[in-house]
Amino acid sequence: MGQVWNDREPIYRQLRARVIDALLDGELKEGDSIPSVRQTAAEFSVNPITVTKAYEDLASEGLVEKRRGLGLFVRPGARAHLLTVERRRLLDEEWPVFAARLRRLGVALSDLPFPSSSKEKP
Amino acid sequence: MNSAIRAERLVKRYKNQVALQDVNLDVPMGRIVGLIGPNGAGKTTLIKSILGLTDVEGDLAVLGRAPRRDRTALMHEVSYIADVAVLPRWLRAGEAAAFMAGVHPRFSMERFRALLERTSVRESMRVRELSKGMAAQLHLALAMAVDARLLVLDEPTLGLDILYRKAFYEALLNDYATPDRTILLATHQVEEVENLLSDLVFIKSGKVILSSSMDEVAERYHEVLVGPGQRDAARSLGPLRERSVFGKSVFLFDGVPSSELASLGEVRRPGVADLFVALMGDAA
Amino acid sequence: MSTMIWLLRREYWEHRVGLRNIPLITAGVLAAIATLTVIGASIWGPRAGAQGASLQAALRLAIEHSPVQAARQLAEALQSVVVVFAVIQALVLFFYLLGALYDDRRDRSAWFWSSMPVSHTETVASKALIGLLVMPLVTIAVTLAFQAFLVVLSLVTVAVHGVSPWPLLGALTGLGAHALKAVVFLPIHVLLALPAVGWLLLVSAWARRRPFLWAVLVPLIAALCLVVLEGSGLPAADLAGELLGRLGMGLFSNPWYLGTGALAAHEVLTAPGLWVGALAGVAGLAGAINARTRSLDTSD
Repeated sequence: MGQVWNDREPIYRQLRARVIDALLDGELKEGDSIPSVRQTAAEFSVNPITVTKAYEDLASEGLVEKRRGLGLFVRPGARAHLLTVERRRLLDEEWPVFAARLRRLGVALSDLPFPSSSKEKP
Repeated sequence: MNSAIRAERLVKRYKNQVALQDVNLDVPMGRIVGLIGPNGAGKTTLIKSILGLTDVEGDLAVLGRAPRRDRTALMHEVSYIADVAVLPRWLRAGEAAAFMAGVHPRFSMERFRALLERTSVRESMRVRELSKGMAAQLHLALAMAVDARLLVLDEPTLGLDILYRKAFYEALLNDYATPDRTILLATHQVEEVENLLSDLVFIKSGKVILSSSMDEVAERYHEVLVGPGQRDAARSLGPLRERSVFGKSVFLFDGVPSSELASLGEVRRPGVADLFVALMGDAA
Repeated sequence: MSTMIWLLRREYWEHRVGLRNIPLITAGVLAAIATLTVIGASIWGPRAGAQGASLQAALRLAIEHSPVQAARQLAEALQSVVVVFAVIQALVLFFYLLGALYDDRRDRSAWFWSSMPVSHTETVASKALIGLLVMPLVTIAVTLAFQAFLVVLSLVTVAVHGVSPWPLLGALTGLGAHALKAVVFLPIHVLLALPAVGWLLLVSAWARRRPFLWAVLVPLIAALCLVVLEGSGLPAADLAGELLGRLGMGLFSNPWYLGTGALAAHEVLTAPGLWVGALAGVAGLAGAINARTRSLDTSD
């Protein structure tokens, strides 16, 4: 059982997304170690191969690195890099879609209640 | 040898029925394979032939050996868990471990004790004194203390309550599933294990209906949630199955790329149970 | 080899009651009875009673300074004890062998044992060894221990009555030979026991239900058929007797039945029936291995 996964994306993408969220929220800091494939697989009740895939994606994106014999660690600059990438994605991909929806529903920007809690540190 | 299990054209005939018909399987090492099928589908027969307990026609190689002929040698590297009812009721936990240490070269007493430590089972207890859940824990500890290369599980969590089931799979993933071990898991409780699996085998009436990795399944099968306006368009693409959920229709497609389906509605991964029902018909 | 030792140990763990407790308890009960009988006889005078009779007679003779006759009476008492343990052994072995390859199919624990790297041959062999060697050795040991107890009890009683026990002990020649016989004749015993062990294990492995009925009725009916065929010129009644005798005796027999007048070892070994029976027993074991393999094939 374990966590509830959505059925739109493959699980390894969702696992990757969780790590990314943790990075963005500051729960995972640079130099922190990432739990082993085994631990993560057991904790989330998913196949180790799935976890490996997620970790490999994160490594190829330059967010984590493998240190021989020690495991996986968050790379320095990972968060900054991530913020850049995610901001780009928000502006280039997510925003236009959302903006179109606002337009379709006739909602103006000024009508939007801005969320008061901001976990993001600039 | 990089296949843990390789079966070609397996056939098993009994007096008045055919238990396995032209079964083909290729399970690479390091995978967790789900063997899913209704009662009487042939799961147990297939498992028995893999363990060398039954004659079967066709080619079968398990860890590179012929199971029937080399059963004793094969069992050095195989661990097997059936449902807990098979544990002899008079046997003490410590006796079971001592026996296995004596006959299984790859059984480790230290590992067994370490695994047992985490449970509420003590070595002096007899199986008949244990609850079902504790007996399952004992069985798993015994099986995992063997440095096997193939672990075969036949409905191991049958009749166990959820806490034990959860702990069971957690222990399996935490302590046992490594790239050089293969796990074959026959089960009914599909939803519980679907994220654990790397490969899927559907079997019904002795025939393998599907044998594929989860990755391939994700690429091949898609579900689309479609509103009434798009129903006909969806039907024209030749879905495997259509069912309705709260006024919307859910279509399951085989081999239609998700890009083509995106225009019809929300595309998503089918649950293994839904895929099972769609491919097997209504007898699930 | 170590696998076989573990298999034997497993049989012992499962059947401690039959293999150990019952013989020991029997010995204990008999020892208590013997002691009480002797004490009672000493206090109230001897009584006429079946078991204690020769023991009491022996003791009376010994006390009356006839060691040689006393020894003879004591030897009779010792010999009569052998029967008791032989009967216990036969009963325990009958039910043990009948259930050995049947019970674990019925409660499905055969699946647990089959997942071990142990061949069906080794499994059947371990149970046969219990029937052919282990249980008989236990019986021999318990019998000898009890007989030793009786001897000591007699000597002590005699001494307590103020008579020297040494003449009695001296007259008990053949105690050493008696014990040695058990070990030396053990192989013959194995040959004698093979038909019964082979037959019971075959039924145990093969029967789907009611192994007891199969085990008992088939030989009886076979013997009956043979008797009915009496007129046809075959030595049918003899064969029937031979058949039942070998099956029955196999479980009872122990080394002391050889050479004490009932059968002489030489006679036994040259009887063709012995070898035919032994071969049949081995065939039965082979059949049991085969049946065991097949039964796992079809059962659930």
